[in-house]
Amino acid sequence: MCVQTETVLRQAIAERIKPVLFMNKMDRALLELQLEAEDLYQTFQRIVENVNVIIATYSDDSGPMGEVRVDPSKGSVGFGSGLHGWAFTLKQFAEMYAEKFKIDVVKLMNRLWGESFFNPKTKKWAKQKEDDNKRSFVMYILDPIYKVFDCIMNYKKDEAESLLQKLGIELKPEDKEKDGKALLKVVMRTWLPAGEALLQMIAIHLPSPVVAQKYRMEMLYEGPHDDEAALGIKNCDPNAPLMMYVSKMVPTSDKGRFYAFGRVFSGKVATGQKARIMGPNYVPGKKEDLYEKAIQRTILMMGRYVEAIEDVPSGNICGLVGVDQFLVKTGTITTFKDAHNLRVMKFSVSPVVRVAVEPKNPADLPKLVEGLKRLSKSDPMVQCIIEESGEHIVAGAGELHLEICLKDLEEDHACIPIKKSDPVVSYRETVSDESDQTCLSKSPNKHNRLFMKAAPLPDGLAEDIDKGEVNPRDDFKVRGRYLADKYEFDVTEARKIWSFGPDGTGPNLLIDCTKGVQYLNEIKDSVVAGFQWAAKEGVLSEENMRAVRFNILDVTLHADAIHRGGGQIIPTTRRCLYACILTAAPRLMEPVYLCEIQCPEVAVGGIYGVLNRRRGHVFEEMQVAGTPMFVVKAYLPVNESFGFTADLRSNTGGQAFPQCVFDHWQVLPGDPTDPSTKPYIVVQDTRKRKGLKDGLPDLQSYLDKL
Amino acid sequence: MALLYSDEKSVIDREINVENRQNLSKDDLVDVFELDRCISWISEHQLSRICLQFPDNLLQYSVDIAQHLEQKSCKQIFILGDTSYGSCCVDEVAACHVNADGIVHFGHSCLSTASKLPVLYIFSKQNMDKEKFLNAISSLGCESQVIVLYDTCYVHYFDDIMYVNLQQLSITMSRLTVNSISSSPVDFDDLNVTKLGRQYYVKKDSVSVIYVYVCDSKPCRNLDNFVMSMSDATFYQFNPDTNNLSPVPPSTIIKQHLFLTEKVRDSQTVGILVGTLAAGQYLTAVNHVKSLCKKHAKKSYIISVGKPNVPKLANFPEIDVYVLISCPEMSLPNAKDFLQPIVHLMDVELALNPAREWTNRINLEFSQLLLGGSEHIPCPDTVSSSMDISLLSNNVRVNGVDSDTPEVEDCTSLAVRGKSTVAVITGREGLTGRSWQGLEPNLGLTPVSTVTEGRSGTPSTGYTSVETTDRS
Repeated sequence: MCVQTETVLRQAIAERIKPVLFMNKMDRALLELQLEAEDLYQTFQRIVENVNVIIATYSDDSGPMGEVRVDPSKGSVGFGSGLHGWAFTLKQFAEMYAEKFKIDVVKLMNRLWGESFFNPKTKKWAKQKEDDNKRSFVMYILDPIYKVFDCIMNYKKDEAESLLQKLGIELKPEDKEKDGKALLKVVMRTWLPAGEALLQMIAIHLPSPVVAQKYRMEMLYEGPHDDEAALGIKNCDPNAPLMMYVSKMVPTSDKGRFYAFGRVFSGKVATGQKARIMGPNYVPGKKEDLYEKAIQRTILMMGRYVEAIEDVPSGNICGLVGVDQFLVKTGTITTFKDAHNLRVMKFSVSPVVRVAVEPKNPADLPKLVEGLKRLSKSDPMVQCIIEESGEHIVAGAGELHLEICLKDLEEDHACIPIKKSDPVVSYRETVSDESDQTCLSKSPNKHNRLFMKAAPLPDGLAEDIDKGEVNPRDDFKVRGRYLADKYEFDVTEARKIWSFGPDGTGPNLLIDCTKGVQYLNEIKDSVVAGFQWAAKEGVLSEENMRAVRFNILDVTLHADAIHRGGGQIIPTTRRCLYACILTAAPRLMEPVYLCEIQCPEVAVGGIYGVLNRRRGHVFEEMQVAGTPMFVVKAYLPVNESFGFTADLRSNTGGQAFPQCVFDHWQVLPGDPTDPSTKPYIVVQDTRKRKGLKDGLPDLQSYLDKL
Repeated sequence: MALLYSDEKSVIDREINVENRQNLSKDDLVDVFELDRCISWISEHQLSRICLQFPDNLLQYSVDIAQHLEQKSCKQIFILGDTSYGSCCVDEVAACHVNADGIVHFGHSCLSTASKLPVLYIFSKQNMDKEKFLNAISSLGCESQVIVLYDTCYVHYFDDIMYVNLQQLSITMSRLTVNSISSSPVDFDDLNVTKLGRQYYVKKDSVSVIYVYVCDSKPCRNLDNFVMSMSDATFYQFNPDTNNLSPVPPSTIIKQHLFLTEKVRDSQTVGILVGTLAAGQYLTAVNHVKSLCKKHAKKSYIISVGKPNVPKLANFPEIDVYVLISCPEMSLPNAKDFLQPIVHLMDVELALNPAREWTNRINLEFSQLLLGGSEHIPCPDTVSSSMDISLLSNNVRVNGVDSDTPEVEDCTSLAVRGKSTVAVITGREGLTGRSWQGLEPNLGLTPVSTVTEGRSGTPSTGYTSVETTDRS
């Protein structure tokens, strides 16, 4: 199974969304790979097993969702071809045969999967393969499908006609003229309509909103679990206050306008209703990211068709007209004044690859800016920003994602020709050791002194912060306990985390390790402000910092409040933090992809060659059971991924297909202060791009003498 | 009063870094600083108390010059150093402290001052090879109009003779807005452009204009400002030290203003930083920024702290962006060290005046953007509110005033506490975000005691009580 599927599945389980499995592209298995029926069964069987292994890893049956694993004999696994529009589950076939065999549908479904064989001569079922029996799945399900494929694709007209009659498929007069693939599509679609199979799977196996929201509320809602909104969601109550999560902006035919698409978790959303529109930065009681507007129209969205509807009660999904301009990508719509946000869905990918764009014709700049704003709305992950140098940057998950974004930008959003730079990777600044000295910085008036040290965060903590496992909103005692237990923090220190940064939530910590410093609480805000600033613009190349903890060891302050104000403390904090970094063996971190490559055995050598040249590192290699294909899993620095696909193809005769997802940040080996290393070059390139002075800042400009 | 100000001794003792370029003898001074002209100007205007203003790098000659002038004119002469803002601006306020009735300004000037007092500009003369200059620029194309601009220290070469010389090459000469050369007989009537302290004539039918700027290799803000304000024109620089004529590359910092403009749009609170008390219309500019902020429901504060530096401005962390109202040549060399970005009126206009569009030109001379200026674009009275996405944070923001933003309980709202109704004063949103909000009065918790004598003094002068010792 490929990395993407695994990632999505893992996320679904974490969000308490029950999965069903659909195995797609069966048409290719029959037409292109021409697998034998038994081999196809084995493939299906393996995939089901793999999926269940992942499910078992990330959930357990005692959880609120109950049993999550998928089982073809229960009908929670579908097979088919989305392209051709047909699909089935065992239930469909069991229903077809039930009458003939006089067996109950449920019982028959059990017989149609797994080690269950039927001997047509003796009319006996068996548990193992014997000479003249046949696997029931192959016999009753795959054989008929194979037959249909065979007679249509091989133009056996008469045979096809009798087969259609047997199956009870009636074709429309205009379809009768077709042959080959076109006919195959029509026949299969009429026989096993995909919509029906999928609807059945969903209706039978997926929990209704009433059921699911009971146990999902605590994952969905950021507020207290007993307020009106929480109860409304929990009970999926259409008479409770409205709570709706907008998850995506869908472009309309009206350029620059979007439908806000999402799910109503509680209450009712109605045309003309006045509601509070809350963006992801809304904090209850504050005005930021909060708008109170009337909803112009509620609509049902069915594929590409929309239909106006008066109101939509809880448990349904719908689109809203007129709220798009108050939201960027996602948001919460509510009528409850004290409502908190519905939790923003986290993506496991992050925008680490960036290109600078500019209009070919400088006069088109306003159009580009407008286009960038639209793009940032329509794509759930892309970031469109202006850098300090004035360059317009589009940041995405990878080369391919950016390519798609830029195409959209050029053709749909800005509608002007665009010049783009080569892709660049964003880096992070970190430290690899504790500061080799206690760093002292004095305030400009020389009356205040800060003593600090930097140290790397323990492995895994930065990721925990990224995921929100450790976050600034948690109760400090709970968080302190967690950090002490999992990361061996000193409990008193763990309770005195002053700030997360950058942006108040990032993966760097500012910790008060002082004892009995007078007036310290008065300068906390200023020190935090300086920390946020420094964490956002690191000392090496003004990239974000990552995985650094700063310990405030001692502070001496002027006795007069006016001489220890923000003006004295904020710039001093920044200087001191910079000194801490420079004395703690600074390093750069680069983003790394998890890369999965499928290929035949002969191509494996070529893959290793390409990966080695690109600093890739293979950590798993295995044969896909029952096939000649190999799967190689490797870590590949994102910076080395540009042109990787093409390189791989040309080195394996086009036989290897890579798939990459962002996985983690990793230290780029080498000292960025040493001009002979790669990190040094990266730092200098970044500094040049940002219009900063060549070389590196001097430690002495941040450090003061006692 | 002494308690409020720091000791004047510290100003006298302060060391300044000046790169010394030449040592002039006393005799040279008379020529380089045109002291004879000073004397005649003083007597002509019948002045009695005259201030001499020097930039830091000329302070070393100040005493000699003052003595010379005092002897020759028999008037009271004062020396002004340590100007409140840039040394390119005339420090009229300092002159008023001594009731002066005239100012002689030495050294480079931005020529942006509209002073009530009579001002004489003395630009310390620099040398240039006239022949080589004429040779160098005669090679420039004849299809475009060529206009010569120059740094103030070369003004003595651009007299009537030069005017004629240049006219023979069909090259236009500019002049400074202050008439420093004796009354000119040449016809300057049709000067149709006044810009950055220079005046010149641009032919109405000329397709393209080439500018030649005369200045040495040191960074020249005036040249930078010219390049930024006319990104479509071609610029050459003539360096009198090397006699080299070289093209000036297009400005790379124009694009940075896109970023600054976005910062202004994103800001909630704007600090209007007064960086001049002399440039004409600076109050109009302050009011203009205020009214633009009001139209966008941004809070604005006027901040006047003399020469801006990092600690002064970082005292207001709740301010998102500072707008510097100053002469176009004032620059903050360590801009990266400031907590907040510092922008100019141009950036505010681009961000908040919906009628102004990005044209790839940045004009740092704020008076040009105000009513009556050549680049004034009137701002509509009300800016209709529109939703927008910030290109810095990718968050939604409102342009203009959003009429029906939801009411969050503000500071005047009443809250019921127990049986009585009390007004809850929460103050500004920014301050409520701080974790430390001031002293805790601990009413009723501290024992009553009699009044005792506290400390007095200032930190720089020291305190009367013994407590000062515990700060080391």
